[in-house]
Amino acid sequence: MKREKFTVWDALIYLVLGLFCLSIVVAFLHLLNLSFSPSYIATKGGLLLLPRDVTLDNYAKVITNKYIWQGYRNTILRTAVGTVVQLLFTAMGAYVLSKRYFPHRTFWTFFIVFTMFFSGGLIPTFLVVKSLGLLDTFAVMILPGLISAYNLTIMRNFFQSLPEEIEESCMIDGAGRFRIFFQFILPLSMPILATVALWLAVGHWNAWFDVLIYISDETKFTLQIVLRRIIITGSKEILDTTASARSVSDEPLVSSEGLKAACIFVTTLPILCVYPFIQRYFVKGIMVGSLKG
Amino acid sequence: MKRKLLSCLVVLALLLTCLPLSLAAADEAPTKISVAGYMFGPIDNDLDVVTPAVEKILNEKYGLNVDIEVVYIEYSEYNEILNPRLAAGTAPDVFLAMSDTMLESYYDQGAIASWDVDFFKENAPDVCAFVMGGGVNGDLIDQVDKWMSAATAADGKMITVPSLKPDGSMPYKTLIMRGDWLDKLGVTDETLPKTVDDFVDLMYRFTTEDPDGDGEADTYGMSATGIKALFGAYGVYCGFVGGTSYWYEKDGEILNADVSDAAKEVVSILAKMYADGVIDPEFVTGSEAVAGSYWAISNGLVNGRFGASALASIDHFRLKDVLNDNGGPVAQEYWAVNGDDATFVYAPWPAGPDGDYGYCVGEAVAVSESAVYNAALNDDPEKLAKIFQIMNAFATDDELWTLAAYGIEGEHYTVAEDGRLVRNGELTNADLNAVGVWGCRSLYGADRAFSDFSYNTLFYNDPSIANRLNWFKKDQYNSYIQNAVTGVLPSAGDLQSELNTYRDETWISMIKGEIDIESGWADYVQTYMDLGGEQLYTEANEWYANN
Repeated sequence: MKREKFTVWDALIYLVLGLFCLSIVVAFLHLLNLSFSPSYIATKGGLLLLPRDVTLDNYAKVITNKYIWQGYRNTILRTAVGTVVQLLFTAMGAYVLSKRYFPHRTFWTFFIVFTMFFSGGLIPTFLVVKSLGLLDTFAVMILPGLISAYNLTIMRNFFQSLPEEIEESCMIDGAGRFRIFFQFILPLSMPILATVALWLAVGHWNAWFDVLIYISDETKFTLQIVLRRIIITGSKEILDTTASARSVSDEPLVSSEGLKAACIFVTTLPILCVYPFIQRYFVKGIMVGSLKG
Repeated sequence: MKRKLLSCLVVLALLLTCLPLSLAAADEAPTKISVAGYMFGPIDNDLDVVTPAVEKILNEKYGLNVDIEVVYIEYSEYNEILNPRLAAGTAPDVFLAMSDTMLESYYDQGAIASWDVDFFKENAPDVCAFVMGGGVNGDLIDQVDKWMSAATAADGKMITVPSLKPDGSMPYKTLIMRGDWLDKLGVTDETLPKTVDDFVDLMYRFTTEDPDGDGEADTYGMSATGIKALFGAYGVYCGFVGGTSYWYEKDGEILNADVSDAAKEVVSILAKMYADGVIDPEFVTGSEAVAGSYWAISNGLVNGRFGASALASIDHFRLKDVLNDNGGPVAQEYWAVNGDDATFVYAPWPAGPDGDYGYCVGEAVAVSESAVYNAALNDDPEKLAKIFQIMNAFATDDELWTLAAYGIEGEHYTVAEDGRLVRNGELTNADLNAVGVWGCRSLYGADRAFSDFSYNTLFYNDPSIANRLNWFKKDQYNSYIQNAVTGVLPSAGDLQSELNTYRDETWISMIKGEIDIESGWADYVQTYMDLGGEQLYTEANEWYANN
């Protein structure tokens, strides 16, 4: 194969992409340095590309915080169980809908896609969750969003791109529906599974609103809820009139910017580590999935 | 055989006599009361020592057999979390109405309980006596009527128990200036500006005379909050930028400060200052704090970008000797950045042509953060009665209140030599919440019980309050501008935010010189009135006439 020449156009693309990457790295670097800095550095402001003063106090505080570890446990559990279960159900649903001989396929597809455009709203959803007895349970973090219409559509498109002959030859060899699905279709669909799994895992890792609304038992709080509480403490002035009625000592104690940065790091690090390993499937997965409508 | 039968009968008889007893005991299962008040973090049921202790005292001393369940609802998302629960019927028995608007809408929607004044008097006689007597030493006797009207709905039934606090109407914000800049310019405590002209002049000097001594023209006079000082000088308060409308009374008429002549005057001054580079262009954000960080830290003031700010209070800039601690939270940041011997100055509010000055102040009677009670309690008046009896117990029993608000002596607080209660400095507010401190907060009132003791502890005997009050006694350090309309205007929900945006955009354009103030002001007022200002004006005057 002839090697293409490196043109000015390529250089420009590299430059733009390089700058884009830099803008992300700089933010991370700033945060990292901030997390190792005593609190006054943050008040001083400015960009921290090199540490001006190093302390491990922030990390010591984060690591000794009981809620962080409890949150970690819940988040890991949620991410692991949630991703596996959701992936399984989404794949099964998508597989069925990808079969041309499935009766009323268009209707069922529309039935599912329809939900992408309309949502029930917060309170009706809450009522449903409540009447299902899911409030304050671990399952509430997984079941209400078990199958996302978007992921299902993407997966369905991928399955449709697989040659139907595979299924036929499997059947001739005597494989049943489940064997075909688990032993042939799924292994062939690694790119899309990895892609959707990454979306789901990141989504679970970052999710906080459902916990905020549905969970009141603090032992089930996930990492993001704990992080949120630490980050927003004291950042908002309560209404003028009540501010005067409250003495300063009664306000939420300020968590220092360094502590916030350390928290952010401790909570984002795991997902950052996972990303590069699954990311290579990303492009492949989406591209193939998008071929056919 | 006979003996066996007899013994069997005896056992049976014994069992039978025990039966009613055990049944009676089952009848007396504690009444479960769930309460979601103002909290800094969740309560930790493993660590919670305070709530069981409170329950024990209530049971043994007052015969109130209750099981208090403290529900944590994150304060910053309080309504988002509470509203679905209200709709689903899983809301706690006691929760907060965050504002008078919320209170009214909860009652209109039938979400909260109501009761007769007599019912309250019957179950919480000491709370009533305390309020009707105007609080400690009758200090707030003139606020009693206001309290009553805030507590009751239009139909005369009580729907909440508002707080009645002398600190509510006490000035809060303070004008703070950089001490090193003032020194550099030779301004002493005696020569601090006391008039608008002198104040504006000082802002110009902050900009032009290189107060930070770095040889560069990189300083401004003031930013978003310094503007408030100018409004005060003309006798009004404006929410500009980002805040809501304030109303003032003139000759029996209620007027909107946003379309007042005073506002025009101030905007003209600001436009001139802006053109001369005296105002930090970042004022348009309406904020001086870095997004996400503590709201009271004026980043520009602390870092020497501008010299005057009215973002924080004297307490935030409290000196070390007031409480013999590390100083106020913002003062600590200021010293950390500028050095331990860096100084700041509490400055008097500049007075305008008519001698007005200051910032806005709140109300002694406040509905926000006072407790409301689940509508389900309408069907369970006994439980509601118990809740008020608990409130009464807190008002009469100082030890009980201390336990609930401060925790366990030696562990969570100590008693200082002068009798003050000092919290354990190693515990954060969230730590205190975890062990149950403040968990019963909404059962005893807002932040304090209706008792002399709790008021003295949190207000009258607090040296930082005394420090504030001492400063406010000085000439022009006080503030007194109050909103003339303290109720909710019916159309405010629909109109106010659009009006605020229109005001902010227009004024910013005027200040930046994009719109000529002299020729454009009349247009602005006209559009403002057409956009709904007229409607609010009518409603405000109706409200005023009825109150």
